[in-house]
Amino acid sequence: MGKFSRRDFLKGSAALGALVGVGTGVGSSFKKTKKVSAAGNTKQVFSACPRNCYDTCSIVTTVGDGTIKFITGNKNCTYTNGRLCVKGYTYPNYVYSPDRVKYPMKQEGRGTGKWTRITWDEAFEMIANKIFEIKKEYGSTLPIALNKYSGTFNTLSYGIEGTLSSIGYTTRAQGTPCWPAGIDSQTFDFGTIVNSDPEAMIHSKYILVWGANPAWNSVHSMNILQKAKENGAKVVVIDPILTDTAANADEYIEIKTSTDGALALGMAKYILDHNLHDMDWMRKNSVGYQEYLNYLNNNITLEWASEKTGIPVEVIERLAREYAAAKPACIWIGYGMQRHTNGGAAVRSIDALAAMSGNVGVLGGGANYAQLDSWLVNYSAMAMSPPEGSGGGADRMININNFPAQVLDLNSGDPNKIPIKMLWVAGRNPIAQDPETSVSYKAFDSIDFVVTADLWFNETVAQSDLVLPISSIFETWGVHASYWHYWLHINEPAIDPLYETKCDVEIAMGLSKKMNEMEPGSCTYPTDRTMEEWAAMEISQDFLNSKGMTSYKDLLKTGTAKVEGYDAAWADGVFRTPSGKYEFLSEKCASFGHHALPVYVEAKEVPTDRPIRLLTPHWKYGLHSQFQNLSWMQSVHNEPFVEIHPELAQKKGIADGDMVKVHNHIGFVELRAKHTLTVPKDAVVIYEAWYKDQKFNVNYLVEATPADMGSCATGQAGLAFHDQFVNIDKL
Amino acid sequence: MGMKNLQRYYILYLFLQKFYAGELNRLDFETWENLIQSLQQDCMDEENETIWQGLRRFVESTSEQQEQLEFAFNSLFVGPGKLLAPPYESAYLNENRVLMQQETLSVRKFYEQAGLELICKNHEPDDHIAFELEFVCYLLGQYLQTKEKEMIQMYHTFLKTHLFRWAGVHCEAIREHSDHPICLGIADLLDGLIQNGQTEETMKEGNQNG
Ligand code: SF4
Repeated sequence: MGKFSRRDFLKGSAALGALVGVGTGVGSSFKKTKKVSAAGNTKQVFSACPRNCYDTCSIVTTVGDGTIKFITGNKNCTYTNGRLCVKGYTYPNYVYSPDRVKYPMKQEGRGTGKWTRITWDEAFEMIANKIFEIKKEYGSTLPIALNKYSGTFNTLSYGIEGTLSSIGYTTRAQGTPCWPAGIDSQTFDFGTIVNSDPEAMIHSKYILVWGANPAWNSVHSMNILQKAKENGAKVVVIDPILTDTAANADEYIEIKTSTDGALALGMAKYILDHNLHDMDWMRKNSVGYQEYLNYLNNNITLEWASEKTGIPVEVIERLAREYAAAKPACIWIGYGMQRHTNGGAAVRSIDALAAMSGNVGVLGGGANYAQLDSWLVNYSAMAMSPPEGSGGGADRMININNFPAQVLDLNSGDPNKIPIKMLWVAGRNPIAQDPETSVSYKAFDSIDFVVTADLWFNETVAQSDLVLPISSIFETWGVHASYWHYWLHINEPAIDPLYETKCDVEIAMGLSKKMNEMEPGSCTYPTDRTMEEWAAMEISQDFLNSKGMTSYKDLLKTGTAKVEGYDAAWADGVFRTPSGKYEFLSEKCASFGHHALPVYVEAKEVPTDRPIRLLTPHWKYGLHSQFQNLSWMQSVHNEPFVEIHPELAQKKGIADGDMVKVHNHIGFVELRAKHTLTVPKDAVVIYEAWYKDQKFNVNYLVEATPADMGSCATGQAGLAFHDQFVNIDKL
Repeated sequence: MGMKNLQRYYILYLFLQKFYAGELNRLDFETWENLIQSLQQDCMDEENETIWQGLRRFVESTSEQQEQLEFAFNSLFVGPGKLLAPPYESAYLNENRVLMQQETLSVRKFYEQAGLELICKNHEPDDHIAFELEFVCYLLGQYLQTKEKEMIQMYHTFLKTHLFRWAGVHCEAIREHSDHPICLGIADLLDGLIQNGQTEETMKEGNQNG
């Protein structure tokens, strides 16, 4: 547009000269074109939902004019079966929300809101300088910590761990808040977690959904339950809360929170007493069964189980009879029921119930918790070695479930402790999600430099020095597996990355380039691959071989393919325990300080000064702190509330809709009360969620109480999220 | 409409464009003061009181306020938090406040009909106000230089069917969420231009009817 720039027509203007001197000229954002967009030119690509969700959907994205027109479930994946959930369908709004983090920005003073826009180059330089400064002062990169978890389960997002590995030995938030107690239980019993393909539940005659709420959190599994019902199965839900899943089931059993182990043992005792157990299976496939049966005989009565669980003896008897008689019968063990100080023990008792009744290794049976066998990926974006001569010797692990307290301890000024000077947060919003919110803030304050990579502004970004804008799954490549079903999905970029967003691996490559420019050899992250090449490298040869594929390109044809051989987990009778058998008696379990047998462990005692249990399950329209920030979601629901049984409410003089204060020894929240018969009389329910532009956070009330298990398989114990106790008062 | 008016509008739109492109955020105070002075000079013939109110706000802004401009600017228009006054047409016209839908694409189409497309197409929404203003300057500049009727017609149509349809609500959002004099002055300037546009429209209709 050269001719135009002379602007002869404005010779008389005083301001023009000044304005022309500023920035770029008029027309410089545009180029000439002859074409005019025509409607109707669309293409379809396969995407995948990266959320921490049972369902890990394969998505078909329709693209036109370089934009997402609409998305739907991929029919090639029989689990996704052509449909998404309410959350998934909002993705176009998510990608095109005006509120995304768009550019790298730095904050002048954390929490001040004084943000300025910087270039990627400046961002990389800031990070690199900080890393070099720390290395110089401490002789290693151990003062640099990573706090990353389940915000994205694209396997390429493990590039974040790779980033830190490629600069040296660092400090890592280790473990998982969600499911470790149950993982340990199944590790002790079976050798690891392997559930039967959930699609095989249609072969089941009896399904116990134990502490899971798929109606909200695994909607695709509801179709399978429905089909099983049509095939004649009975679906029974065991839960302290009358969930939507329970409301849709054939029967709902209300159980006292944290007594699930007692119910499983009571049922097993009935089965044993009535000779309904599978002695042949136990003899052939297990060790320690005699000790277990002795324990049932000597220690368990139905009256005891009834007293513990609050379930009448006749009901336990009927449940046990039905479960043992229906062949096959399957149990779905949810994650909620293991978030207790006796949660791991409870899962072991349930595993044992499935095993002693002959329901392990059979089609339509199983004690189904989770699996990672389908993750046939190479973790190529993660596996990086430290630069030569890196100090520190090895990565240092600190407990993700007590991260703030451990950071404060390291930063207490003790000269024998290497402090945390820099924190990298990715795929997480720890300030919203971690227990003990006020301690989180203190921990952040004690760290010199915080960089957070995210799609959205949130509490953690607000407490950062630097925010890096992340691309959505529709703007990059991905390879996705589920921890529940057995499909492996590939994700192609549907659109160009908006604004200046980058994916985690691109950030790693950019930082690596910068660091090596400044100090050659200081970062080992490869910089010469395209994202498509990274995605291709991620899919394992084992997977390709098993599917008769020659390259990732074959997977692009359908977007998804199923890892076969898991219709009935453990059907081959080859267990991954030390004995190679199912272990009713596990020495390994004992070596971690637990009982070797799946015995009952008492629930955490209810403190007399805080007699009301606080349950904080997942919310139906959000996922942890995700989705709630969208305008659309806010219009559906943007006010936190506490659910309370009318009987408890009456005792406390709380009317429906009253503002109340829920409080305990570590904090309080103020919110509206909602009467409902669906919650227990001795507990209140506040859904864990984030509300945009509101200070509310239920984790002010949640103490970092460890669950009983988790440290064997995940390095750290889980969190007893549901063993929290409070008081409630009308405001 | 007189050429002089159009020349003045060109300058005002250009000023707004530079502002929204973030190019006035880091000026030193002296440059800023000079710019405002010359802008006032160029506006001597301007009769719209709202525009003058805006210009006065600029004149009265202190060097401290001018230093804080970038923070105020980012919290309204850039982020990283929820945008208090999104600078995108679709953020106001799309019923779900979603960008890159038909509202954005119709702006894209308008550019294409003028033979233009964004270099950063599909990376930045076409309906960002800085692009819309740049397009307005382009059309107006073309007209002033070549006197091609088509250009002035497109200019009027674009203002009427796009910029003026949403900029008023956008200005309200600025007033609601900011007390920064320069940002408030920008809202005045934009509003004044909308008012002038409406007056001229009415006059034109009056002429046609009479
Ligand atoms: S949140 Fe879960 S159910 Fe919803 S689209 Fe994503 S993977 Fe599917």
